[in-house]
Amino acid sequence: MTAADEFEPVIGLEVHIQLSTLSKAFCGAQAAYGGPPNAHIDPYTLGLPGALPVLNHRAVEYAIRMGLACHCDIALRSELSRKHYFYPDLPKGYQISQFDQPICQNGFVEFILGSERRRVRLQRIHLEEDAGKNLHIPGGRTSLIDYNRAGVPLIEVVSLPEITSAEEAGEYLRALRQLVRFLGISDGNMEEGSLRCDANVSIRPRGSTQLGQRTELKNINSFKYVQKAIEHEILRQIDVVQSGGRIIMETRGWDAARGTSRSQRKKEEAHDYRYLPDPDLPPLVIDSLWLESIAATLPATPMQRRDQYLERLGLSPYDASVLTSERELCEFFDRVLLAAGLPPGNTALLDAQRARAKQSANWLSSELLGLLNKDNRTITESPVSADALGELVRYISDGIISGKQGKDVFAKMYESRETPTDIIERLGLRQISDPELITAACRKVVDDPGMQKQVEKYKQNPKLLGFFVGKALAETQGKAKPELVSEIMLRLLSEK
Amino acid sequence: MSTSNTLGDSFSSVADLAKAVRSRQVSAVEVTRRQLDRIAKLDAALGCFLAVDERGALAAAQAVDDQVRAGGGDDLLLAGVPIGIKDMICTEGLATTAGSKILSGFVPPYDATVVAKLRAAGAVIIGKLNMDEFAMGSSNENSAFMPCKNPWDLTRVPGGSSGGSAASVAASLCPVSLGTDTGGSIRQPAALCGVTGMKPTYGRVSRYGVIAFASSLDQVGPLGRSAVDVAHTLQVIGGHDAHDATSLNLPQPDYIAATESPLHPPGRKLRIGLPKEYFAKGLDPRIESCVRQAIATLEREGAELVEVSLPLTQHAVAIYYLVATAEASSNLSRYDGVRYGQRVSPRDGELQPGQSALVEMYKRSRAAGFGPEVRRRIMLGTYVLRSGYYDAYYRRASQVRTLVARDFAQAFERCDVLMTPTSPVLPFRLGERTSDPLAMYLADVYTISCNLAGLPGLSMPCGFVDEEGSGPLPVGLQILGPTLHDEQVLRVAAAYQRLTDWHTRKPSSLGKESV
Amino acid sequence: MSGHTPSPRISPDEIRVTAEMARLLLSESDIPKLSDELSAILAYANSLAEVDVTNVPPMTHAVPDHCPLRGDVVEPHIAREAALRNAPQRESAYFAVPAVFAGSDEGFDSEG
Ligand SMILES: [Mg+2]
Ligand SMILES: [Zn+2]
Repeated sequence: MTAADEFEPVIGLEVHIQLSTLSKAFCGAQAAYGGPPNAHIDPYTLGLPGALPVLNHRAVEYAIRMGLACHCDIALRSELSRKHYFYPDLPKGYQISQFDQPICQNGFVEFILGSERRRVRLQRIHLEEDAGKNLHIPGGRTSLIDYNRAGVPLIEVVSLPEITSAEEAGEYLRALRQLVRFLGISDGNMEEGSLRCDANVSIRPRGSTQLGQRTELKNINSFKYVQKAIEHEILRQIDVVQSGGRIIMETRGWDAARGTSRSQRKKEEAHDYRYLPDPDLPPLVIDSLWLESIAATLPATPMQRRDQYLERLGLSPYDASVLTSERELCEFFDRVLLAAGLPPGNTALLDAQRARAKQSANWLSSELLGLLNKDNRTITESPVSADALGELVRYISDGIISGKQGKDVFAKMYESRETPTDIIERLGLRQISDPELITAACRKVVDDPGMQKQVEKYKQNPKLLGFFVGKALAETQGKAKPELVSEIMLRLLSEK
Repeated sequence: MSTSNTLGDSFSSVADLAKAVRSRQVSAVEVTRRQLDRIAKLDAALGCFLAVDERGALAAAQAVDDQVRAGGGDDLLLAGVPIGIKDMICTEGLATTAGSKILSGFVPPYDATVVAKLRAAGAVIIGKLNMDEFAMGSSNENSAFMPCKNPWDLTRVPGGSSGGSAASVAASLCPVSLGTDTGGSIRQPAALCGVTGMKPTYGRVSRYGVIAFASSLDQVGPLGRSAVDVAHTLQVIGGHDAHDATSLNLPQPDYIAATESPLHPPGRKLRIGLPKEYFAKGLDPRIESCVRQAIATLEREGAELVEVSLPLTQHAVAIYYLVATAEASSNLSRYDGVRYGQRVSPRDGELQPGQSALVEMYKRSRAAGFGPEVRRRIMLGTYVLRSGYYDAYYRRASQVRTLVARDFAQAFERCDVLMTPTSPVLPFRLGERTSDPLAMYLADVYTISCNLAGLPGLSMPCGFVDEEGSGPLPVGLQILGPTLHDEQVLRVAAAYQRLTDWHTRKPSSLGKESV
Repeated sequence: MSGHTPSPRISPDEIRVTAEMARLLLSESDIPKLSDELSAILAYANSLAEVDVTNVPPMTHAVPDHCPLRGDVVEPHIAREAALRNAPQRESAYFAVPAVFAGSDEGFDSEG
């Protein structure tokens, strides 16, 4: 038994997600990322004497969207509190956050780990404001502060400590990112800091039900490092315990450059935040009609989409994962299905329709995404529109063109942005499926006096059917539908 | 008229003055010049102004005159009316200190809503008025810059924290001023200086741009010579403000009309409630006698007197000092020497091993920037919010506060207004009470409950006491109304002032200069 | 905690801890004085323990109203120069402070 097998990690994540509002959480300053330093400032952002907060309607709506999508209980009355600590990027000496009564409680997030469906329960989701940014000049005697980010609305999603591996933590975090993007409440961009993760990590002997002493891992700023950082912390703790040490309550900062963490603050220095209901902000009361209207317009979550793709369309889990990775892709796919002639909504599908859905998924995930990836383009930059792709699928499954022809048409669509109809017309690819025309072409072949020898041979050797079919196809310049030609040819030959 | 006589004094009200400016009887510039002259002559002895904005005032006056000459300005309620602003209120481009060294040099890049409204109504902002540091005090002695004196006796305090706001009106340095009231800071100095001052219902006047002391208690209000002037000013500064989440989104009452209405409500007699806890031990009997006479005057007019009880009054000071200091410790966290105000950095070699230059900068800046009373309150407020003490102090105080508000609601079922003394004591001498903070706090006993419950309250002069060695010293009558009944308070005050002339008296200590 | 009556006496050590939290540098002579003054005020405030507050909600706001919400609209900003002019120390368009790191193990970034 290896060391890692003796211990079981217990992980809880606190994830801060910036909401993509136009203005800040409590004032009208611009909330956009970046900009020249200290450009997005107003009296509130700078914590000027006398400035007061007024809560942004959209920030509340976004928090509720997230709460609903995570199956939380939404508090119809919640409290905005001040959390006090001194730091240069915190302009007022306190952060407006939620303490006693957060806007969302309980709930869970679902995701796929390996091939298994997992669920991590949430303790709460609360609203708060972001701090500014300190710039540290290495070795310098001063730090510089940019308050552009100060006051941008955040939700903090706090999970219960029930994640049991670094990999699961990574998948959970990816699921959160995917979810907020589907909900349209954040771009979830970890590199730009719109999604930030702190991890509470502890270990315990496998089988134990008691929680071990946890440490808090901060500063994990990229998806690339989430798993690595947590893994590293688990191994560090195991190492400490196995060499007879004890885990102490501390905050550790992840240093991505060195691939290691270092202690930032020990418990003795832990803050007493002196939470106080903000006297500038009366209780946040959610009107139940408003709540209902938010629920009614809530976009489907990635998991709901996935279930639908698996169950209604019969897609493979792989295709379902690919197609639900981004909301834009899902929406693109849904438009492809419509254009391919599938009924919208949740109506049950016929087998033929399911086949067409699978075909659509194939064209999108292997053909279109393949080319887009190669060209470093996203689905929103696709030269082939969803309508055009759906049309193409329809031509193929209606037998107007063959699958092989479809590939050529698709390549031209991608190159020239032409519609499949235009390309098929231009190249004259439309298949002939009129039985009379095909019967005429077939008759011409079998009635040809020069062919009678072969007709006689056919009677001994039916394998020669292909020869006649080929001749008849040539008569139609290859446009006749091959299955139909062979069916009619068979009948004509048998009449001979 | 001597040169230091103010034109403002030649008019019986700010409404008359504004009317004269609008009809070009006098120019705003002339009014402003006279006012500035008087300030220049008298304020060195009084210490009312922390800053006089001569250039800004004259420019604003000129703009009003230009507007009037161009045929506009008909709706300027305060056209050309000079006004002093408590230095707790932000004025764009004009230094604002809250009476504290920690804000020395701070120039707000924005106007408080009340200031913007005053400007829009044609008022001329003449300067920033002295006050107790961050409005913490009842004597103006906590000003970091200089004490302010009581115009009735320059050896006595004007009260606080809006001491400059009250003294400047009493000394005719401006006809009206703005103050802020967290536990009596408008009413108590109004009483001690013999002027009329009002704290409106919480939420009636925007706090946006008003430096916070205790956010759930703070309210801006006007001080003036009369209830009529106070009503005119309140009409301008009041009303809903979308930038203040505690601003009441209700139509604003017609305060001016209220001051022209009869004493009694339509169809019945006014009922005046007398809370027995406010006429108890500790009240100077000479003050009690003036207040009782004032009440008798109204009784003769037909008002009915009702004895009521506000049993939780005994806890008001305790609640106040827990709630106000808790909120203050939070509100004053922003003064950290990072973005504005005074910074004191540790000198080279001063840092102990393990100390952070940043943390030491915070601690030094705040220790040097805040005066002793402010430091004391930050300490108390920080302490009562600590996680182990929050429930026992802040939370419990907030619960008893609920009971105080219920007490008032019950009392107001039996009366229209309450009448009480504003201060249990006459203006005291500078330095007389600074040694015992708790004793100083207890002097706020009559004004504090009103803020806890969010009620409207007004103080106006109702008599004078001849103190040996001093001239006459003013006595204040406090009128408290039910929440949102600000106009009722003003109506009763104006009716009283129609019957009496206490509010027209002016301190003689300032000599012949005053009219 | 309600119903618990804390000791009204604030020890000099408690004063030190509180001053640290409040970021106030106290001189050694301030400490006993503050300890006495604050203790006296809290002893006075201890009378609140006598009041029955069973089922009484705390009054944390003087307005009964609920929190108004603003539209998500960008409003005028203040001029950066006007803001930076008030800064005790600046470097180009940044506010500047003594290094957040130097000589301490404070964190990299805010708590959030
Ligand atoms: Mg957290
Ligand atoms: Zn947070």
